[in-house]
Amino acid sequence: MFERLQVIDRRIIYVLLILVIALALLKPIGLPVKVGPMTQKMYDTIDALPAGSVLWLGMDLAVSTKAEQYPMVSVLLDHAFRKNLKVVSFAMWPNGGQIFDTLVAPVAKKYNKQNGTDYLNIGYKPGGNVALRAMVTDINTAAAGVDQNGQPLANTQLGQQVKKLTKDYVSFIVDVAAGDPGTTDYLNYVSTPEKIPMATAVVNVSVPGEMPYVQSGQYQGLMGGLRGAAEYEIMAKAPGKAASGMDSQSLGAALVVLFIIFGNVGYLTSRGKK
Amino acid sequence: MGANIFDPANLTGAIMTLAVLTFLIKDNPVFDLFQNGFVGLYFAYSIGLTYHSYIRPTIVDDIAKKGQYSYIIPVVLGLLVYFMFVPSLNWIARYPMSFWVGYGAGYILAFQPGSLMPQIYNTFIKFYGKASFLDNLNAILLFISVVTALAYFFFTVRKQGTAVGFAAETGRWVIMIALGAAFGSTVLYRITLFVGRMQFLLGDWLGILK
Amino acid sequence: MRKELPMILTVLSGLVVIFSRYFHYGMQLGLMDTLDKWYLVSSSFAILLGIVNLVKIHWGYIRRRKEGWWNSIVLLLCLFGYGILTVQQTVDGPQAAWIFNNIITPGDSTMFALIAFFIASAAYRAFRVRTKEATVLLVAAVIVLLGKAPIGDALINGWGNVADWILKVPNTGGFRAIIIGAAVGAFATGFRILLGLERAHLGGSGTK
Repeated sequence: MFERLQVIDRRIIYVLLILVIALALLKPIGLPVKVGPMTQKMYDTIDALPAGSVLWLGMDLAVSTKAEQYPMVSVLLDHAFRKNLKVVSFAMWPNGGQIFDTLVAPVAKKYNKQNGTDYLNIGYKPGGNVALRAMVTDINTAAAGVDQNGQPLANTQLGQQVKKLTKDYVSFIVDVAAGDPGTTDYLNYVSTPEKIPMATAVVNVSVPGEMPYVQSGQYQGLMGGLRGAAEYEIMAKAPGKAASGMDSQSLGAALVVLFIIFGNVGYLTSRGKK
Repeated sequence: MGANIFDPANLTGAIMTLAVLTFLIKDNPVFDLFQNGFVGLYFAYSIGLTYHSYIRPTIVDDIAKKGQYSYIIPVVLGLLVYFMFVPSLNWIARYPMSFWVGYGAGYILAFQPGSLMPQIYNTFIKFYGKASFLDNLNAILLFISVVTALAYFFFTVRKQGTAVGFAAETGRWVIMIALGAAFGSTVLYRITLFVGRMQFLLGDWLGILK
Repeated sequence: MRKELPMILTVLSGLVVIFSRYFHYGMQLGLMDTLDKWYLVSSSFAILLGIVNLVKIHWGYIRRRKEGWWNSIVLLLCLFGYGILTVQQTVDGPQAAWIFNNIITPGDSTMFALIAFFIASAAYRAFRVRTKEATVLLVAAVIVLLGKAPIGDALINGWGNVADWILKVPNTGGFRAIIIGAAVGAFATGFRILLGLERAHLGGSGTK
């Protein structure tokens, strides 16, 4: 009888996954989220930055990772604006600049922050790591003189103030990354040679591969996946979509594990019989 | 509550979401149609974006207005790549390619060692000192993991019955744990992406989430 | 002219970066500042490369009435229609942004979310305790999967700590070895390119 556990139709798994996730969204159980040390370190580092210092936000993500990374950007902006930091954003990924525009609008309104004076969206520039490194020499030249919307950078207060991606102008870097080009480019071409401290906010799938840089202290903390965003939301006291997704993420994961157990019970029973 | 399911923006989003999800039942013409449409839109997006973020300002502002005529050289260099589509002259496309590849290689050689070194020397720290017993134990375990996993990647060394062989055997277990962690993280990541879509369908579109 | 000059160009452009980064005189010369900009300008003008290829392939499908050719028509219509729109009003323009937010975003994020189902069913069918290695892999995966979601700690207090330990110690060790290996590989490839041993970008046989 247990052997049949090996051959459950995939469509049953699909339907159950949809049901479990929907149910957990409709009737949340409110599983407690513990704040981990990596997110804590990142929060504390940003929290300690003096008002008016410049936070460089790398937007190296695409719309495809919306569920995990939009909450990260929103909560980072919330924290930065609450602490009166200036935010300069730059994207090596095509969607990054536009995503920043979408996400900054509600937070800027909440804290009454102005485009050009409190935040600046350099936006997407082609060329990946070379574009990033060119920002170290001169942001205006590297960006062809314009922001995400084609407006001259020189016309804005922040554009005039932040001339280079060096430690004279930028206090801290957070790269929100979904892959390459991304955090390792910041590490190789900016953070290490220019000695600007950085942290990273990556999709959950990248967390294991980024851990060595956390251990070595090359990252001042890491926000990993939706869980990381939820932890940050708790610390920043700005609950958003990350916290509300925790239950359904948990139950979805539990369902997958349950099916892995089913498969193995079936496998072991059939092997025992042979 | 109070969402309008006929709101054009959300309705369009919901149709897109559901159309892609039909693939779960089976591969079907609707899915193929949407998939091809997305590819077209995505490439088109990159045209508009690059045009306004780089091409136009370079030509209009830098070259025409400011008279930085030296930029004509990279413009021409970039355009040479299209000779790729002219069979008899496709060797001309090698010029921009050579520049990009060589420059990229130079970048790796010039910058990578700086960020790689901390990876190596941070493997050796915390063996002794003020850290707790547990921290020291973890530091030793980390050291063993790195060294044995590296030994596993020595494909050019004879391993049978040698110390390297023993280390490599241990390293294989380390790699298995790392890959397991990576797989677990991937599953959680993908589930989260779907949770995001359900939040959209149930919350933004149908308005039945609190 | 056809092989030698591009080869020299490859070597020289690579050497410029190294010279500018490692030598005091190189830093003062500022050659890299100029070439960085040249790289960015030249590569932005090559943006149509992939698109020309895409159009060629799909135009071929339509002409030969290959099965599903109407999909290619949709692709080209979207490509040219949206391309013209975004050039005309930028991607942040009202209609262009509407399409981005309500068609591209939900479509693309659902495409990525689909994998959740395939990965769940693949984990169920393929994850068996057949060998010792497979068992270790499976156990590590399950601990991390449940430990990084809040449910791990809700089931057994301390589960999350075990998951964190796996990520911090053996996982860090394994991935550090991979990082070091990959860096050495990239470094060697960089050297081979600058020594003229790697020639895939010049067409022909590739390596020597």
